[in-house]
Amino acid sequence: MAMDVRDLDSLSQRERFAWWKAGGRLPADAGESPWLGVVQSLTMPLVRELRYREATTEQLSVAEFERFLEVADEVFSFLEERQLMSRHEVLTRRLILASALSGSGISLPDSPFTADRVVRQVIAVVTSARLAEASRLGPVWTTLESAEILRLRHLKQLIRLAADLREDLGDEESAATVSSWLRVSSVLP
Amino acid sequence: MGARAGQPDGVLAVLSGGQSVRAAGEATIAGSAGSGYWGLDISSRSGHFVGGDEALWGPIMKLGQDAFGKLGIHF
Repeated sequence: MAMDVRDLDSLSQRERFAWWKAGGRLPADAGESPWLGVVQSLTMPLVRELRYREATTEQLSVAEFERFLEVADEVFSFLEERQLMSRHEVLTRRLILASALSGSGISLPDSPFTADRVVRQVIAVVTSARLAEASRLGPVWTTLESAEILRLRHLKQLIRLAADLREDLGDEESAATVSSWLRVSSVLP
Repeated sequence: MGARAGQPDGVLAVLSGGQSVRAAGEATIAGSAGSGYWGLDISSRSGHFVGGDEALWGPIMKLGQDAFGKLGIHF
């Protein structure tokens, strides 16, 4: 069941998730840009619903939030596996959803978007080698090539977004790990 | 510069001040008013505006680069 990404915008949030669950996909030759549209159409309204539950129009139930977050997890995995979205972008988008879920007050301990689960994924990519490089290059970032600055900026994004989740972490070791990154983050672009 | 889900056309209309949208995409910029700004990455990836029409990607990105260039931000 293939369709154009523009068609998703006319659907309600429930209909968009139903489309995916029914096997809805873009045409096989769709590239990164249209797939970004799908991710935006599915996840950004979900973030809004989680953050502003009282003011939203669709009034999703907790069970719907749980199902839709599972779909979001499927979509991210689908795109990452097919290299239609970078691992970094998927992770930052997972962090944004985790932040929205944590702030919503909804308890979904089995969700792929609990703060602990997502921050563990961040910890897996913020390696000691990456932190050592950041400590070395951060203070002189203005002298670096754009590709190196971008790499440092990506690291800073992950650290900042993970740091915002520290108070929601049940795992104290993860919280301490994230806190230990902040000094490095302060010298990054 | 960019579209957002749900109401992408509406958002772009706001960004363009109600005029026709000429370009949409993503840009990553580092720096500050004090240190100056570095254009790190720019693309015509907007999710909605162009879709899969690759022939439009180059000209749209050039529009973005020129617009940022006028502000002293170069990619």
